[in-house]
Amino acid sequence: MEPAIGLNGYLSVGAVLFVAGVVCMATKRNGIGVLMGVELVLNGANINFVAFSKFTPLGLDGQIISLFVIVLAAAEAAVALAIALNFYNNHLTIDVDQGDDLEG
Amino acid sequence: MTIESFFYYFFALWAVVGAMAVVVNQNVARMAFWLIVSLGSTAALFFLMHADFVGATQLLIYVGGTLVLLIFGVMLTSSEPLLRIRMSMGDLVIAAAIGFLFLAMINFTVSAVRWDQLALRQIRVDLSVVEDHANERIAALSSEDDQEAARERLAEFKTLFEKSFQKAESDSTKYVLAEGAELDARDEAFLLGFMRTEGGLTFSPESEDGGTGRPIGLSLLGSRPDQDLDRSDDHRVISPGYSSRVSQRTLDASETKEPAISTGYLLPFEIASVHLLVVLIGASYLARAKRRVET
Repeated sequence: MEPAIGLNGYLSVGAVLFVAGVVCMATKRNGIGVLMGVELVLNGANINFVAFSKFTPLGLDGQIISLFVIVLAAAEAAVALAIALNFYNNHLTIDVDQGDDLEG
Repeated sequence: MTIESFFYYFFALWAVVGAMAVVVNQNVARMAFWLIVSLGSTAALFFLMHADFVGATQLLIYVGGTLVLLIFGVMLTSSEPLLRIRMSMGDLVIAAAIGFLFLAMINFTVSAVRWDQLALRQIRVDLSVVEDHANERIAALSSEDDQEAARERLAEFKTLFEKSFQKAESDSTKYVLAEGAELDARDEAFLLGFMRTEGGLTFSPESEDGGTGRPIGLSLLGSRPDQDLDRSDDHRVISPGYSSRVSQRTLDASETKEPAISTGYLLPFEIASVHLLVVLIGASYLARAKRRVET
């Protein structure tokens, strides 16, 4: 009998999503693209929370924490999108490299 | 290949492919599409881990709410020249190299930790329950050969268990991992795997049979029927009479006047509610229509 998928399988999926999100945040010049990177990072973390809740004595707590992450991610997306729209109104572009008004 | 591992590989593949495609694509509308693929597969992985409520929330809030919001953002901000903002090739190569190094580091660290050992350290096991459960499963098997193989596994488990576990000090029916137990990673995986599959050990009974909605709702209101009443009973066993067992425990706790430790999430829940209200007001203030500043 082959071994069932364990904790490590899910943790590595979470790791890939996390790293993809970080690279996305660092390389995208489109402000909305940066936001998508943040969503990927939060999802990678969520997979880890739920995996720990299933495979360790953490129990249901992991799932509840991941629910909070989902809710806060939705709130963060709303605010960040409002900021992005303001940025677009002021600069007529969404390229984050143009946002250097505060540069000394 | 079991149906479960097939679905795991299928959805894990799509989650990873979607995430990679979000990074690689230059067109922001296509990035949004691949993000939907990735987050939807993640929701499927949640369902595979028996986290049905979290999976449903992921689909409703993330895929149905947050992503639609992002796509609105794409529509409002991308006039034709802005749809693709290219980055230089050198930046891409450096980012990919750093990304792979980062991924290798995380995977190396995760696989270096012996999670099974950590889990074994935290549980208290009732050996007779595990044995009963395993025997029931053996009796339910149809063919003689399967029964023989299952009996051998049980015997192997018992010798390993007696070698490494000792009676808990507070409760003579429970066993805990002995201090100096020498187990290698394979033994740990076997012990934990046997207890989880044949032995009926489960870390959270609700999450095994799928009905997580009610306990999650209760814990957000500050009560934890699965934990409050008897924290020492960490070896929870699924049995048909689970709910009656819970009420029995409620009875016991009220009789002995044991102070229940509240492990609920009422305060974080309220903080999140206020946070959402603040975000609602703040976002509508930020995004209100303004005269465009001439640059």
